[in-house]
Amino acid sequence: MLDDAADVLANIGRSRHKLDGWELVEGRATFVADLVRPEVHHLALVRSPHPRARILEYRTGPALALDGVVLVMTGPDAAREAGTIPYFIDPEARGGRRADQRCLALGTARYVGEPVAAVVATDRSTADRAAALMEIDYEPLPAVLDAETALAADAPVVFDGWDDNVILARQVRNGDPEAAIAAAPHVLEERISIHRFTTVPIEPRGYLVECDVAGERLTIHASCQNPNAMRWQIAGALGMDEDDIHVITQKVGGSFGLKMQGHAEETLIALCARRAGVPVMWLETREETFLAGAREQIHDVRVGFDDGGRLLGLVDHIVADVGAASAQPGWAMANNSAQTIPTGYDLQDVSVHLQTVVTNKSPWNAARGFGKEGANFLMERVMDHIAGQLGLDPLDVRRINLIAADRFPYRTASGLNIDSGDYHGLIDLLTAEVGYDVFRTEQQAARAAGRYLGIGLGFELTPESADGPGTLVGGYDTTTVRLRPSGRVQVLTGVTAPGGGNETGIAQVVADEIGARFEDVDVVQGDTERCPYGFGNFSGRGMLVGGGSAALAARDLRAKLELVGARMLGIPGDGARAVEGHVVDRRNGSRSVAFRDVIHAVVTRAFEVADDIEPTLESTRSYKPDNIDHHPDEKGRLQPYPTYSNGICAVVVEVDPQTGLIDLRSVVLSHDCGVLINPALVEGQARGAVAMGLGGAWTEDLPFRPDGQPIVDRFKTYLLLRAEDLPPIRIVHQVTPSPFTLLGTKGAGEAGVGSAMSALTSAVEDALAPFGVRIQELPLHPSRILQLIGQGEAA
Amino acid sequence: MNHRDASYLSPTDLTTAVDVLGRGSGDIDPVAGGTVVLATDRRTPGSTRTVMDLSRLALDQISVGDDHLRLGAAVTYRQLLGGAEVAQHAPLLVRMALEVTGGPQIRNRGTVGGSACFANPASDIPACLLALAAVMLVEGRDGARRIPAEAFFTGAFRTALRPGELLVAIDVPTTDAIQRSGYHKLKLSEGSWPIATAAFVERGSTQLLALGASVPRPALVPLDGPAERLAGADLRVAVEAVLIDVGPWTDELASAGYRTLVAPTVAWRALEEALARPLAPHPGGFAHGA
Repeated sequence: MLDDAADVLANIGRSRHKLDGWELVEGRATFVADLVRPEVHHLALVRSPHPRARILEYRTGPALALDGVVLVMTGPDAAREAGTIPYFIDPEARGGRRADQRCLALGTARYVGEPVAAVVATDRSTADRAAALMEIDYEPLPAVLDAETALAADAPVVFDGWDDNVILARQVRNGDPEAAIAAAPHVLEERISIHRFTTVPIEPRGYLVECDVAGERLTIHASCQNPNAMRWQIAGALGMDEDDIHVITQKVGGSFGLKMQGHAEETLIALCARRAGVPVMWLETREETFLAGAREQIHDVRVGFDDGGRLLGLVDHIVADVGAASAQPGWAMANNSAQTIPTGYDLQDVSVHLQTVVTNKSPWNAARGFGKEGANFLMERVMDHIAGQLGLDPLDVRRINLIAADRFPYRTASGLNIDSGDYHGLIDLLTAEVGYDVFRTEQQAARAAGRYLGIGLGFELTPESADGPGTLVGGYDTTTVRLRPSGRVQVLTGVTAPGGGNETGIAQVVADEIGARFEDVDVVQGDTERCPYGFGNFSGRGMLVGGGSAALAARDLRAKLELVGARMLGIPGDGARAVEGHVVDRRNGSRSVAFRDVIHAVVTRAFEVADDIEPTLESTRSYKPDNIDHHPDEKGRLQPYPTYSNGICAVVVEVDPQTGLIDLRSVVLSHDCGVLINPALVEGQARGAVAMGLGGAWTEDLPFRPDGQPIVDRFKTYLLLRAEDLPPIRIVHQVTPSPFTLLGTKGAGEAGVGSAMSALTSAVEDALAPFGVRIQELPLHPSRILQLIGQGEAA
Repeated sequence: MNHRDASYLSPTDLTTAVDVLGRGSGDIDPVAGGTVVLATDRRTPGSTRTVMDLSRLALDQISVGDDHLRLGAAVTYRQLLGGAEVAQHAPLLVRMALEVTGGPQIRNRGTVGGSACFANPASDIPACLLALAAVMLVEGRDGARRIPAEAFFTGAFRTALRPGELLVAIDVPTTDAIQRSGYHKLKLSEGSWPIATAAFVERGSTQLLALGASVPRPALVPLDGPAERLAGADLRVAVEAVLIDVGPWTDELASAGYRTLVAPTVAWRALEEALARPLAPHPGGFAHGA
């Protein structure tokens, strides 16, 4: 007898090599920048040099006169043909305010770097020179560069027609936290700040737009995450039908949210290609990539707790500085910061007031973590400071507050319905891997020798695979699985890959679900004409809904293959099983018929062996996970996530109190994303997320000069961590399958950012405990650390 | 990328190179490894400069004379790491080259002379050349000059080179053998440029301690007596006096205040490395009071 369970696991759970691994390693993969052909023209942007200015006059003559320039486009030119860009996440749908989102600034420029004009030329060099020849007169206006100033009554208003700078104010409230805090034996009150940092994919954004002769149909090659959102937004802005825009996304060299849609350049390049009648390419420079902001937020938090460190109530006021919010989803991230508090801690008396504030800085763009890292960072600071105030071990304070494993599903104060988990189990895994107790002994010995070692912890709750009602943040997706005459299996899915490898995981799922060899499965993604309508990638959804819908479709075809195969073998319908591309007699494994022969029989013997079977050799299925609920509950709360991945990170550092420098000695992430389809790919994502969190807390920073000019323009001024900065990042897995998803998976890919930010900060604080150091602000620049040591000594 | 907009010269003999440079109006960039000029050019749309490639001038030679080690201006960090003569006569340069930021690409392309002429305060070479009492050999249309390293670096991104002059070699004196040397560099992360450096060299009874990166131009720290007997507090005072005199450097990655705080510690660590044993008491204490 064939063992059904054994062959189901032939691929799922194994670290299959990436389908496109060799292509990438050998440099054969095709990225947007590789699509250059002689007829392709290039676009360069003229960007505002002022944080806020009225645009008075454009003199385009010198640029137009340059040989090779085919088009110059100004804000008023663009406005004649393009309307406003629809928001990916409409602020009004969330109770906030809209502004006119233009592909080129119209009338007023709102941040340094805002596109104010564009030039198209035969090559990039000419386009750049032409852009430099554009003469634009501005009248500088008072600008506002931080959120707290932007909230002042007399602050300049960023968007015309608004009466203040708040794009969204929101209250998340449950229970009676004020009373709980008033009655609490201990109270902690502090301000926790996270600075602005960003995502840095190895491949910046890029697009190539081709237009048909009539100017009616566009083909767009894009390094993007959401091809269908892109065509919807461009169609909306240009007054076209979505159907007339074909978006193709091939290889993407990292996305991290930056490549979600709504960027001004997307509409702009489509408009320019239509106007110029030539294919137009725009490749973002690294300097431009650094305009994208994220993360920056201030929390004024107040918590009450008992003698054992147990939380009794929490009140938080968040002010998030999202820059000059664009149509890209980035502005909405602060919402998720508010909603995710108090993460995985068991506390029902919570009030969070959020003010999402616009300023004259370049806008936030979506960034892995999507605001959830802010909530996690806040809660971990609070845990450490409660421990410090009571003289308890920070691990114990977390243990006493984390939701117990027998309480899932658990509805949080903000209404999130956490599906499953075992947070205490995660801690046990972590402490064993790290050697927590041994470390404390080492730490004591080191301190006696004048060396400052520290260990830090960071728990993280990562709500994943979101659905946003009324937006293109879709919580389901759709996949077609197709049997080809050769016997190969083709998968076409609405989920796209950012470079992280979900195509490989989906192929593994399909191989097991249909009974094919992994090598015989091909995956097609990112093509709006070939693939079913879908939402692309964000929020750790690729495997969950891409894998789920692919599994459903594969099961349909497996049933058909097994039935026809059984007939060909002359056995009852349930007597056959598809294994590795063959339909095999369960009782006699040496009798089998290859998929290609079964397929041929379905095609050619439809009224005989395939009688009464619909001879369609493909199935298209959507998968909607359970546990999303957009019917407001009695408190008006929605439940937008099916799953809640979680993890806890431990970081060990040595801090040099003479210089403030941090030596990162070890990093461990104890991680639970439910069932692992491909452990190597999950770990690759988790390591990247941890590195992003460590770098963010430590060296990555996007400061501005007082005049609104960004300081960072390249990797010399934006210190991304390098391999030499990091010890090996060790990952241990706990698997608590989600009860609400088809394959038991939870989202993977985002978890690690918030926990690593928190753990590093916690470790530095722990190392410097003898100096009374308390960290409430990022980044951990050594000058800040010396300052804190100095303050601690003085205190 | 705008390389096609730049004019390119590639002279094959020094006389021609110096002549062309001398006739130019300061708009010709001599390029050795290109790690600065090419990267800058890519980021400057429409720049139309002239680049003079020095790679055919045989400036990448390392030789030993009667009283000096001579490094051609286009000697790379990689050559420093691989050269037995360098290891013998100027081990400090090997030590320094091991820590150059940027990995193999930069070590293979970046040059000692290029870095010296760029005179970026936040770089490794300048302080090392001062500590080594190196002499810069310069050629111009008006003849050759020998400039002591201390006089060569005149400020941030400024040198004593006159328009049209070309640095051709750097001499490290070998009359007195180097007994001990040490180098310490503080940077924020692997990708960071130097925030503060210190180089120490002992030859016979002469000890030279130079600061870099914390100051706009490298500077020698006057030592009051042998380093072995230096008290931490005295070194701190001496380093701070230099910082006050020259003025601390500030840039995108670190403020003058931070550099002032850490420069004495960095100097102390260079001494500790050279003397191969800890010095006490430490110059820092924890009283930073930033």
